[in-house]
This record gives sequence, C-alpha cells and structure tokens, in this order.
Amino acid sequence: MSYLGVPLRVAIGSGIITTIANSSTSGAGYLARGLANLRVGYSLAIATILGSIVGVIININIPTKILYIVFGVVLAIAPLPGIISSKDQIFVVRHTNQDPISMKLGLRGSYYDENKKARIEYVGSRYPLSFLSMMGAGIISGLLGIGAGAFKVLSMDYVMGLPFKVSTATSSFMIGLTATSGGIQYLILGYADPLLVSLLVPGVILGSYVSSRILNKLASKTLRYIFTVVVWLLAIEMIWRGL
Amino acid sequence: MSNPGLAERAVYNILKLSVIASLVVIAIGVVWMFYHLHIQGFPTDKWLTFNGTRISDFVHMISRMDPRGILGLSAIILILGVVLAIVSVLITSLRMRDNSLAIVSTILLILLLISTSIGLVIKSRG
Repeated sequence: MSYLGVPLRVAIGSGIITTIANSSTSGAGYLARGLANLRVGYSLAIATILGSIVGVIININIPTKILYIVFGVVLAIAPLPGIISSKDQIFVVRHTNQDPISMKLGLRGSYYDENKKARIEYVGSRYPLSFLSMMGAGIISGLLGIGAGAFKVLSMDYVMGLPFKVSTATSSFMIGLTATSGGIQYLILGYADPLLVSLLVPGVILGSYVSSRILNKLASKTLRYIFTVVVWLLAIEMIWRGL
Repeated sequence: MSNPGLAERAVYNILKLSVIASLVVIAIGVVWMFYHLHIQGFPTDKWLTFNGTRISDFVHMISRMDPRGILGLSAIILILGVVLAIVSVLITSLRMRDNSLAIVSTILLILLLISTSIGLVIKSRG
C-alpha cells in the first residue's frame, strides 16, 4: 500500500483492520472445525496484547534497528529444528506433563486430521515460557504493525508443544485479538481509511475462507515447508530494515 | 471444567455474523458511492486520496450522505465482532462456572479498554 502512495500510518491502520477480517473469517472456520483452540488462543492473547502495547512504546522511544536485526536472526534460525527433524511428529503427544497453569487453563484438545484420517489428541504445556515468547510476538506486532503470526506459530509449536496445524489455526484466530487492540487505536487516531478498507476486505475474506478450508487437508510437513519459506522471507525483510 | 464447545460455538457465530455484516455494509456503501458519484459527477482528487478518517468523523459523513461513512462502519463492525465474541465467552464461562476462562476473557476485555484509553490519550495530546 505504501508503494502506491498511501501514507505509511494509514497503510498500517487499514492493514490492521483487514487483518481482523482475515482472522475473523479463518478463525471462525478453524473453530468450527475444531482446529483452533479457543482456550490456548485467549490465554496467550493476553501476552500478545501486552507485548503490542510495549512494542508501540519501544517504537516511540528507542532506535529499533538493532531489534530488527536480532528478531530477524531469531526468525531465520527458529524453523531449522522442524526442517532437520525427519519424523512427522503429528501423532506424538509431545509434552505429556502439564505445568499447573496450563492444567488450570485446560490447555488440551483434539482435532480430526483430514490428511491422516485420524483424531489427534494434544496437550499444551510450559505456559509461562510460552507467555514470554508470545510477548515477543506482541512486541514485533506493535513495532511493525503486523500480525506476527509466524512468531506465534513458533511459540505454540516449539514451546507449548502443540501440533503444527493447531498452532497455525490458533495463531490465525489469535491475530484478530491483537489486531483489534491496535485497530481501535488506529481508528481513534484516524489512521484507517474506509475506502481503502472496503477495497481490501472482500478479497482478504475470500482468500482466508479458501485457505481455512485447505489447511486441514495438507500434510503437516508440506505446511511446515511453506511456513519456513514465509518465515525466512520475513527474516530477510527484518534484517534488511535493521541494516 | 465446562463444555468448551459452547463458548467456541458462540465465538464462531458472532465472528461469522460480523464478517457477513461487514460485507453487506461494504456492498451497500459501494452501491451508495456509485449512486453518489453518478449524481455529483466523477470523483475528485479528494475522493481518490487515502488519508485516513477518524472514528468520530464517520457519523458526520453519514449525516452528510457521504458513502465513506457507511464504508467505515464495516471496520467498526469487524472490531465489535471480536469484542462481542470475548463478551460471549465471558458470559458462557460464568454461566458454566468455568473460572479460568472467565478470568482470561475479563483480562482481555480490560486490555482492550486500556488500549482504547491509550488511543484516546494520544489523540487528546494531538
């Protein structure tokens, strides 16, 4: 949008509103199919919203170039364990011992994997660590005005030990919550353009509706490779911004 | 622990409704815009620039029969959808005596209120 002459802040504000449309469409679809976990999404959204508030404060007060490089390098390295591991971990309940907070929050669930033709049960654990990593995702979101979904997926996948499809679907559902927090501010400040939003929203809704129907049919490994490419592109963009 | 399906169903219905409502509003806004432009001639430079609109301006726009006011409502509907979804989870969890989910959704609502307050403070400082 900024390449088309739209002021950067208006582009970010309008982009955040379309992110809500994207998340509401795909998130609702994932919830209906049992792929997104409402409890995981809501309990971790507390961290991302807090992080996004911190991100905005950082953005205003300190030079962000070093942060861009640090986060970019972290993003580039983070997906490597998933690629190196040759085993398809989808049938494995990766963390059977839940911490007390995860247990109290009821962070567990199951879904039917259309690719494997099997019901997968899973348990979410290490909530405190996941909360901290989600704050990092929120900070990125506040700094750059993006959903930072890649960070959220990494946190749920590696830290909390959720299946990759559940992490992806829950991340998509959660992004709407973080975006709403920013979207309200951008709307109050007049950094969202109604005409621009109305041009973008129908296309975004159509795209997210289609993608939410495809996700469960894909093999987790294929999904992970697609995800890794997206993460690396994001890492390059962040390092580029920092240089 | 309560049946999580109830809360999920409520969120699903509200989010779906908000997306459909925003699409309907956009469709009405676009039709209204073309009708408006047909009467008043081709769009001016003012119409074709994307400079952002404050939430408080939407009401004035609608009262002036400016279709951008209606288009702006779609953004408000999407935000309201997310907020109402959290409220519905809070109500469901309270009815089912699911304390953990009730606390989580209350914290989320408080954080959204804080976020709104920050926006209003920044706006008041100009």
